[in-house]
Amino acid sequence: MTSRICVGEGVCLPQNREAAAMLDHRMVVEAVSKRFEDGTAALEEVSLEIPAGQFAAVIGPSGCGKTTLLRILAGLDEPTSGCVATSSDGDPRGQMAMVFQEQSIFPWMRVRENVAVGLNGLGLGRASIRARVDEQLDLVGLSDFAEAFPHQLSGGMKQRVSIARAFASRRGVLLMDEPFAALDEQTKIGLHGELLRIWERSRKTVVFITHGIEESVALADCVYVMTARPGRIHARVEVPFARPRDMVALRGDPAFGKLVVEIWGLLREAMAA
Amino acid sequence: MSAAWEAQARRSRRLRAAEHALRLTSPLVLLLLWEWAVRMRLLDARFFPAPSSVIAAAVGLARTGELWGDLGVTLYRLALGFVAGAFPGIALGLLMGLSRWARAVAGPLIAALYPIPKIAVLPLIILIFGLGDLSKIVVVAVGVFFIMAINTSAGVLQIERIYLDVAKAYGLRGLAYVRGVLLPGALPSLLTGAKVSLGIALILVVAAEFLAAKDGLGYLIWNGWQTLQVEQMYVGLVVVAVLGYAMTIGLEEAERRALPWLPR
Repeated sequence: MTSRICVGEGVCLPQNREAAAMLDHRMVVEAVSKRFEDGTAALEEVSLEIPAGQFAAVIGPSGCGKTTLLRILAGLDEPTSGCVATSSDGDPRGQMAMVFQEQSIFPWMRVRENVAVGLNGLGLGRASIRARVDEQLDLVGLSDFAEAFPHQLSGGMKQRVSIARAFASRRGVLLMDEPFAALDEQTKIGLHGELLRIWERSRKTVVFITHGIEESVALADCVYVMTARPGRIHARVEVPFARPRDMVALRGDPAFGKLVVEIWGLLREAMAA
Repeated sequence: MSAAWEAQARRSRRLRAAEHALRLTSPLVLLLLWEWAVRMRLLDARFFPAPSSVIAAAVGLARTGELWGDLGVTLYRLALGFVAGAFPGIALGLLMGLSRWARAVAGPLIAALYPIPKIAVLPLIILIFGLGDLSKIVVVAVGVFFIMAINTSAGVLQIERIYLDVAKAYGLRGLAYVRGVLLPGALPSLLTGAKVSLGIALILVVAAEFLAAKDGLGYLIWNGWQTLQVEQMYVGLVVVAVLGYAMTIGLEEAERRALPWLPR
């Protein structure tokens, strides 16, 4: 098992090519730059090309513009220059399902209504909305909490609702902005396993923002390392572990530790760059 | 361990019971003191008639039907005025919360008009709407309108940004956006506005009835003063107080039902 590290050009391929071929949600980011109104440059010429069905992680020092990048992908912010495209038809924004870092499920809606938020305006009947919501709640293990309000849930459960909301929308690209940053280590590793299990059923294209190196190696097919502000792509690292992955056994693999150390080195370079 | 715990629980139960009893008995004790002071001629019965004679006056007014008539008329003006002011106020508040253009246009107007005491505009309102029920309804509506507009727009503006981002990211638009995000997000502030404006509405309707009415609780009080029937005045005051209290309790219950998602 070897890992390929490429600084600059190169594209990583997903482990399961057949599953990826079923989907057409290749994600292309071309020379995206972002300058805020006060003149600070947040992103500089960021280009990514993520093949359909690949799980990509983006790590970088805090304040490097990772979240800005994701907000641009989600259509919540406009880039100053550059463009975002997916290879399937239609507005890319309608294909992005976002999982936010902070508590983002509506406190005034029951869990069931929160999961159905992305199904609004798709012209689905009440019964099929219910079926999709039930299916996702079952997958994240929250069937018993369908009628609960968010204030009755723990932090980990709220993030599971947020993940269920993203998957229920059946959009082709999943954008995740440090979704587990606020959780304790045990809950986090539990949720990593759950996320991969659900993701492997549909193999969406994923862009996962994190500042956790271990997290990125455990989850992703490919890790992008960003520089300090203004954020640029410093390196791209392929993660060779086979799927499905066992979150505990994986951490015992010497290759796992080796890759984590390699990315640490790249991150140090990126911060100096 | 468990004996100590039980003793502690018993002590806190006793304290709660004592607090509850005190809450009920303190007004009663005050009324008894009042009655006693009037009978001892320590208080002037012309200004402070004994509770017993106020009750007697109330029973008399209730028997003739006068009290119920006045109460009904005041409630009618209050309810119509509240509804007529609240809905346009909520609509304008939502618009101001949504659009910075609407805020730029309506904001300064509201800031300038809101502080004018509504009762000071009553002569103008009577001039336009006449001496009938309509002028009383309008003065209440005007008072309610501003408070609801201000509270609703503040409620929309204080919805956390993340919820607006979620709505945008998942394509919530139009009616689904208003009903799913804006209204529920602004609802706590909107309901606070409803509580405040209902209190103001009661003040306005009674004051308007003082000046320009031949019926209603305000008229009952004013007429009591003009004919030197001090007991009748007190009956009016007590009924207004009870009405205000009942409305507060009712709204708090409504609030509990409307906001089941707030942690309590």
